[in-house]
Amino acid sequence: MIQDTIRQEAKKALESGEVRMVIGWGAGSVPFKTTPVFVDNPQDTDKLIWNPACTNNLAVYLTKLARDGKVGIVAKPCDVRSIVTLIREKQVKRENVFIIGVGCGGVVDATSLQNGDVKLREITSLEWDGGDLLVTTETTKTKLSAAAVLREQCKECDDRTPSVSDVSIGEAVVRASDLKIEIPGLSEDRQKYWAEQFSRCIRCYACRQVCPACYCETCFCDRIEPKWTAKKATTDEAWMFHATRAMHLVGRCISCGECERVCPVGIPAVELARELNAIAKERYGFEAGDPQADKPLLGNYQENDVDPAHHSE
Amino acid sequence: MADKLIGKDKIGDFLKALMSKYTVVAPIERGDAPAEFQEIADGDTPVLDGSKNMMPPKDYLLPRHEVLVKIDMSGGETKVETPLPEDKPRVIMGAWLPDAQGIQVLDRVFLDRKFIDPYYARRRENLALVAVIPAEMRWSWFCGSVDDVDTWKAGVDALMYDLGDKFYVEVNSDKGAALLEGAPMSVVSDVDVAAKDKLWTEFKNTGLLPFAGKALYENLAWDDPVWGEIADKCIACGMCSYMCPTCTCFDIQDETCGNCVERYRCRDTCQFEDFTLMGHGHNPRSTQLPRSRQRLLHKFRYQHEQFGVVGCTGCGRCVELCPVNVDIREVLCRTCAEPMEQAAEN
Repeated sequence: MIQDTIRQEAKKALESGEVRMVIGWGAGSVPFKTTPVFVDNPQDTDKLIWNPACTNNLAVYLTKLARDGKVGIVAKPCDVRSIVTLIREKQVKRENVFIIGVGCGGVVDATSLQNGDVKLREITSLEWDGGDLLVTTETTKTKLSAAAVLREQCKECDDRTPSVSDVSIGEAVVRASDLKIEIPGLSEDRQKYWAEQFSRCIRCYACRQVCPACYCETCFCDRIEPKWTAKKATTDEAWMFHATRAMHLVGRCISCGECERVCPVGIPAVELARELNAIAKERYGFEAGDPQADKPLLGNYQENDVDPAHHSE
Repeated sequence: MADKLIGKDKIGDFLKALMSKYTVVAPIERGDAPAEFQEIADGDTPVLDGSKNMMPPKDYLLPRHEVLVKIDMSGGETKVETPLPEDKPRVIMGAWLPDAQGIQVLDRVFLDRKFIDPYYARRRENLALVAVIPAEMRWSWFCGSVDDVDTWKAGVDALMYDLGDKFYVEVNSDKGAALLEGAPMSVVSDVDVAAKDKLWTEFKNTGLLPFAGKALYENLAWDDPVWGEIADKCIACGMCSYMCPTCTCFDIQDETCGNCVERYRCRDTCQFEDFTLMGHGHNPRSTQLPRSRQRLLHKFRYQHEQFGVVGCTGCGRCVELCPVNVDIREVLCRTCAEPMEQAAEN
């Protein structure tokens, strides 16, 4: 079982002294959620779990925890893309990370479970059963199709096994290609669409804080001198924040979708990054999270690069 | 006024009549966005059954962005304007009872005798509160664990219980009676009363946890190791406080534009690093640990000491939304099971 193997590998790494801590997912306060855990004692490795609710991209903790000394991290393929980006951008040293990579068929958006007949408070466990999610309560077992419960980003993810790892565990059960779902493109009337989205922003910065690529020590929007954007939650200021953040994430956002998951007002921030990443791929052949690229997109100027100012659509 | 029933099919007419006398504020869904408490206009269909209340009614009483002072120096002389909200009768409909109780907490902060906030007061003075007990309790609620919810009824002018195709309406004040005067309501039967009592019992018993009825403020210690554990995983976003129906902290900033200055108020939170950052560079809460501790101690101890109310109503928003599943209920269970001796604070 994948979970047992994760625990064994974590235990080995801790016992041998290779790492001082393993970052992984632990049981959440309710069975349909998980929570980050930081295991530093080989005896505590049974705190580590693996189930369809392991949503968090734990790479967000690396810039803080892998600064001094080596840590282990349990990572899905998308999380590994974040780690690759952090290493390439010299925020984390490769030798300071022990990657316990886990094959993944996608994770579940717990809130989408609410729409079915299932009552969240009654759920006792979630597990994959072939291509379906098996939701168990004390009295019932319900199968929900993966297409109905997977997070949007998982539906279009083709990365089923980690591209880089020190230990690789498990295989994906659900294949993305089996349930490829059409994700709507950007609205034709973009200005209006995004104005509506940003008008709801409450400026809680959950999108930024949960993002492994947002590692700046002081975000531009927290600066007072110069003041790039005001703190008030108006559409214009929110626009400035989200648009600048999107520009900072070109070629760096690996579409884990954490920003969308945590947004309390449902702003599809990852749509922006996806669009910009598509442009980066088309013009510069750069794919975010690709371990083959040796330099960051913006740190790799070539004389024959397409000049966006003269680029015709 | 005796309890009454109102059919859900009559709500539209009732609201229409109400809107001729009051500005009605209720959850309105716009597009895919979560419903927000807004002033309703003709043609709006607010959701009154409590099923779409993720955004708290605080957003109406304490807007996320509010201009406090406008200074205009463009004409050679200085004109100062303080744009207070309009003085008009308002009613908030469809707020969860825990959110209505949240407004009682806001009142303590903004209408305290020493410091009355004129902006908040203007919206609050002439406001009637109609709360709702939804047909289905949310999984994250733990209202009965933080307070005696029977006492909350006194804070609302009317309470509506969702009984499926109709609401059972309990009127608690003259304001509430005036509001419902002439409404298309019918008398209640014993069956309705039984259904209402059943729903109330369910609400009371939802999320009853080991700390229910205990004096939480006595159990939350400054030195508890739990603060460090929260801080380890906390990613320091402001969602828990921005979505909280009782968190009140705000920032005031000045913005200049040509010869004009606008002083506005916006949300702020103890979870942000710059919340306590001083002008000279020192930050008394320089790491996440004291920030995590502050939020809970403020809610459960400091507010209790200051105002005699607990700053948490068990609405469960932070439980549902925290990106890293820091669950306030677990923290309270733990500090209650293993209370620490109160150490000297510094």
